[in-house]
Amino acid sequence: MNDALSFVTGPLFSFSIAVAMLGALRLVAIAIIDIARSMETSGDLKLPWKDILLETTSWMVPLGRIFATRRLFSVASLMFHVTLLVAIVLHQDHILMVKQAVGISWPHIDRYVIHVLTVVCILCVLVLISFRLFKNSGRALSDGMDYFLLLLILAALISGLVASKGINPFSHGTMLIIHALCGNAILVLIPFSRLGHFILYPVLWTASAIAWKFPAGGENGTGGTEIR
Amino acid sequence: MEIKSSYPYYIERPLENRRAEGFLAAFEEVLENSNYRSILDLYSRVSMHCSRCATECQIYQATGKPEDVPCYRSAILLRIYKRHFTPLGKLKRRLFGTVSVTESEIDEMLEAFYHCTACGRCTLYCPMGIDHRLLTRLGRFILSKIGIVPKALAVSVREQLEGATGNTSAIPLKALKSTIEFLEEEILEIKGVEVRFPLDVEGAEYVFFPPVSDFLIEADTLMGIACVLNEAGVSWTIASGNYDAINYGLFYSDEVLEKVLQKMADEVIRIKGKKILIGECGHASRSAKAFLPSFNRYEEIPVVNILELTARLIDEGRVQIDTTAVTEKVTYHDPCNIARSGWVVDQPRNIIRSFIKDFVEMTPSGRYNLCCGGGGGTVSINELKPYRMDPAGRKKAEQLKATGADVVITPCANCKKQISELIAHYKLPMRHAGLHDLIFTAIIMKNQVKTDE
Repeated sequence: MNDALSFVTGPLFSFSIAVAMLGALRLVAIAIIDIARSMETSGDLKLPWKDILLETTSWMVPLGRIFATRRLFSVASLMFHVTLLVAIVLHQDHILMVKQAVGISWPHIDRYVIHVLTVVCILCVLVLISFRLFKNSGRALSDGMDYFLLLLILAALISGLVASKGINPFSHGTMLIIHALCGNAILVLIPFSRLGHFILYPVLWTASAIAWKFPAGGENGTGGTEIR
Repeated sequence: MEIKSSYPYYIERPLENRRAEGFLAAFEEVLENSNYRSILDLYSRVSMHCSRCATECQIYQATGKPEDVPCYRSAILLRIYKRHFTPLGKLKRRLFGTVSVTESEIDEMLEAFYHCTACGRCTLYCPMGIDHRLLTRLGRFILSKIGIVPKALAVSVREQLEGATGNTSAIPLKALKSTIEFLEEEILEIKGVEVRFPLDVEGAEYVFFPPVSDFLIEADTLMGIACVLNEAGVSWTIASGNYDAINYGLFYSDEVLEKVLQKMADEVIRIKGKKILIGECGHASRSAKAFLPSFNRYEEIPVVNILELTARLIDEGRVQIDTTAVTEKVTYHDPCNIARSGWVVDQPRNIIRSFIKDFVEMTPSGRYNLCCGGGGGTVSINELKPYRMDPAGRKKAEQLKATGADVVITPCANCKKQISELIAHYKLPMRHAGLHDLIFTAIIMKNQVKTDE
C-alpha cells in the first residue's frame, strides 16, 4: 500500500505535472503562434484592444455578470472555479508534493478552511451536473467528456475530503491513492481536453477578434473565383 | 424550373449526392486559404458546453429547441473539424473508421446556419468568448462552396458583381437618375427648397453608398439624408458606377465580401472621393468599416455611417431641427451590425434627443439589443418569412409592444423590412421609420442649395 501511495504521489505525480506544464506551454505557444500568423496574413492589424481587455478581465471576475441570467448556475460555476483553485493550490500536502517534484513551495492555508472549500466545491459540481442532466439546453449540449470531467473532479474532491477526515469505510491509504490517481488524471488531461480552457483563457478574445481579420485573396478573392 | 427539395430555402443547384464529400473538400480549401483553422482549433479546446448562450438567444427563448442553442449549432462545425482535421480525429478515423461528416449533419447545418440571424448577442454572454456568429458565417461559407446558398442571396450577389446594373436590386443607372430627379422634386414640393443629389462629383469628401433598395422603397430616408447633407454644406456625391452598399458577403462568403468591397473602393478612387458614407444600413456599414481595411488595395479610405455624421452635424449646429414637429412616442431599434460592437449606439440617441421629446428606450437596448429577427441575410429570403415572424421575431415583437411607442426608428434597410412585417404580423399599433425619415419631417431648411456640378 505504502509503495503504491509513494508511487502515485512521487514519480507518477512528477510525470503528470510535467505533462500538464509542458502541454500547457505547448497550448499557449500554439495559440500565440497562430495569432501571430493570422495577423501576418491580414491586411488590417487594428484590433479593439480596449474591448478585448475589458471582456477578458470582466469574465475573470464576473461579479457584474453572474446575476444577469441563470443565477444559480452562474454562482455555482464561479464558486466551483474559485474553491477548486484555492483548494488545490493552497493545500499543504499539495505544496509539499510540488516541492518534492520541482523544488518550489509557497504558503498554505488552514486544513479546516480547505475542508470547507472542498465541501462547497462538491456542492457546486453537483449543481453543474444537475444543470447538464435536467436543463433541456444543457442536456442537449453535453457529451460524454463533459460528464466524465466533472465526475473525475468530483471523485478527486470526495476522496480527498474523506481521506483527510478519516471517516471513510475504506482504508486511509486506499482513499489517498484514489485521490492521487484522480488528481494525476486531471493533470494529464489538461493539455488534451477541455480542462485546458483556463490555460487558453487569456488569449481567447484576442483570437476571436483576429479571426474576423480575413486575409485578402487578391484578384480572385479568397480561395476561388466562382460567385455563388 | 426551380427544384425545391428538402431545403428550407430555394437553392439554384441542389446536390443530390456526395454532399458530405464536397463539404469536406470545401472545408479543406477554406482552411488552406484563411485563418479559420486557428480559431476552430482554439474553440474546440475551450467550448465548455455550459449553454449559457441559450439564456440570451431570442430564438432559443422562443422555441426551446436544443438545436437553436448557439453553442449546439457551433458544435456541429467544431465536431466535424475535430473529426477530420485534427491529428486525434485522423487517428480515430484510421483506427475505427469513423465518418467525418454525415448527410444528416449537412441537413442539420444547412438549416441551423440559416435559422441563426447572426446577431452576435450570444457572444456577449459566453464566458469563453466564443463567437458563434463567426462560426455560423463560416458554416454558411463552406456550404456556399458546394452550392448550398439561398437563391435570393446568390442571385442578388451575381447581379451586383457580374450583372449589367451592378447592384443587388438591379436598378439601372437610367432608373437611378429618374429616381433622383423625382426625389429632388419631392423635396422641393414638401420643403420648398432645392436640394440636389449630386452625381459623380469628383473629389467629394463623402461618396454616398445607401442600401440600393432605399431608392425603391425608402424615399423619405434618402430625402432626409440629402436635406441634412445639403443644409450642412457637406461635400458629397453618389457615384454612377456603384451606388449599392449592400454586401451579402458579410452573411455567407469571404469571396463575395471582398469583391463587393473592392468594387466600392474602386469607385471611390475613380471619382477621387475621400471617404465612404454608408446610409441607414447596419450590415453594409459593418462590412465596409470592419473589412475594407483587410481587402482595400488603396490607401486607407475612412468609412462613416450616416448616423455618425448627422449626429456630428447637429452637435456642431450645422443642422437645425424643429423640436415640435414630431409629437409621437418614439422608440429606437439598434441594428445589431452597428450596435453590438458599441460603434453606433450613442449617436442616434443624441440625434433623437435633439428633437424628439417623447422617447422611450427598449429593454434591453444598445449593445445588448434584441435582433429584429431578420438579421444575417434571412430578411432577404422570402421563403423564410414564416420563420422570421415566429419564432425569430417573436421576442422583438413583444419588446416593441412593451414600449407603447407609436413609432419605432429602424436605421437599417434589413431591420426596416423585418420590423414592418412584424408590425403587420403581430398587429402592433405602431409604424416604423428611418431616423432620417423623421429628420426629413422636422429639419429646418434655411439654405437654398447651390450645386457643385
